[in-house]
Amino acid sequence: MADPHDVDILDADTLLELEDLCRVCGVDVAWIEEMTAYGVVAPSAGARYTAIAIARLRKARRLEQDFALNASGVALVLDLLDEIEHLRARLR
Amino acid sequence: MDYKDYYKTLGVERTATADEIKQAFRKLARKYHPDINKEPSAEARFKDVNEANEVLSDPEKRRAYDELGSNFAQGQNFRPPPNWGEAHEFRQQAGGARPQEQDFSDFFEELFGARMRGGAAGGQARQGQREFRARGEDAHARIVVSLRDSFTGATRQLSLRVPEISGDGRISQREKTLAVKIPKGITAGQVVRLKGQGGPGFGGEAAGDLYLEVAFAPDPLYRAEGKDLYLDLPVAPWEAALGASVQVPTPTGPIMLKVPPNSAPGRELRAKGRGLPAQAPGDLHVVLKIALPAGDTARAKELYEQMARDLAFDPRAGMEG
Repeated sequence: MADPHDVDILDADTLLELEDLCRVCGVDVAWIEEMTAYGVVAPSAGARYTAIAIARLRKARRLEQDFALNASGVALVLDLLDEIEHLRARLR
Repeated sequence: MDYKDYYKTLGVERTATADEIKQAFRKLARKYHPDINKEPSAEARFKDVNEANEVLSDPEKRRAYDELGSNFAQGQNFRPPPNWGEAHEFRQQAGGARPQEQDFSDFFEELFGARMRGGAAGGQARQGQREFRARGEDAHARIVVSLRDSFTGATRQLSLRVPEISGDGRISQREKTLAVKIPKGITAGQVVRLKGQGGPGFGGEAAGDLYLEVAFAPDPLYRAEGKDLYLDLPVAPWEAALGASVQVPTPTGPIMLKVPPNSAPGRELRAKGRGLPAQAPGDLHVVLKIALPAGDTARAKELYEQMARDLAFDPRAGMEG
C-alpha cells in the first residue's frame, strides 16, 4: 500500500473566495447569492465564506434538485433538519 | 449479475401508470433521501429507488425492461438476451452524461448504460485530440471516522467508485482505494481536501481535487456537537443527593469529577478542555442520570420503606388540579 495521503482541513478558519466556493460546489454565483439571501449560508469577513459552507451548500443543492424545491423551501428543510438533529442528539 | 425487480423496488404493479410510478418514486425518495433519513441503509435504498425510477419513468427504457419478461425474481442470476445491444439504442440525455454521483448497478449498466456512456465518452476523447483542455473535475465523497480517531489522528482506507476512460473511449466504473490521513481534531461536518485525487485533467491540465465530508460513526458513550462532547453519567441517588467524587471516562482516560450535593437529574457538569482536541479544545459535558437501585432484597425494601416513612417527599407536588 502506498503512503497515506495528506489532507488539507477546510474548516471554520478556512476562508474561501466566492468563485472558489462556486467551483467546489459546482454552482454559480447567483445561486450562492440566492442561498445567502435566504439565510442558508452567511458570508463572513468581506464577500468570503468559511469552508463550513461547502457541506451546507452541497446539501442544499441536493435537496433543491432531488425534491424540486425553491430557495425558500430549501432554507425551511435545512432549518428543520438542523432542529431534528439537535433534538435527536438530546434524546440519546 | 443479479436481476433487479424495479417494480418491486418502487412497490408498484407491472401495470402501473406513469403517474402511479411518479407518485411511488416521490414518496420513497422523500423517505430514503440520505440527507433526511440517517439510517445507514437509507443511501443504498435511495440509490435503488432512483435507478428503478430512471428506467420505469422513461417509456423507452421501460418498454425494453418489460420485454425481459416477468419471470425473473429480484436478485436472480441474469444475463442480457443476445443481440440486446443491437435491438435497443438508448438516447443520450440532453446535456451529456448523467451526474457523476448517479452510480447505478451493473444490471442497469449492462442493459442501459454502456452504449449510452460509450457514445458520450467517445465524443470527449475525440475532443481531447483537438486541443481540448480542461482542469479535472472535483470529486466529492463522505468519510466516516470514529470519534476516537479525532483524538489520536488515524489512517483510514477509503473505497471510491471512479469513472475511468479506456482506450476505446468507453467510461467504466473502477474501484479505487485510497489511504487517507485523518488529522487530529477532526470534527463532523468538516471537509478535507485531497489535492489532485479528483477527476483527471484533459490536455495537460491539472487533475481535480477530492473533497471528503467527515462524519462520525455513532459512539457508545459520547456524542459530539462541534468540538464539544456529551456523556450521560449514571449516579446513585445518594451520590446526587449528598455529593460525591466520581470517576468519569473520557476519550483520553478517566478523570475524577465532583458531583455537587443536591444535584437534580439532567444537571450538566463541564470538564473543561476534555472535548475534541484543538488549539482551543472542546469541553466534555457530563449529564447526570439518576440510577435507581432495585427494591428486590429485604434490606433494600427496608431502606425504601424507611425513606417513605421519614421523608416528606411528594414527587407529584404541583400536579393537582
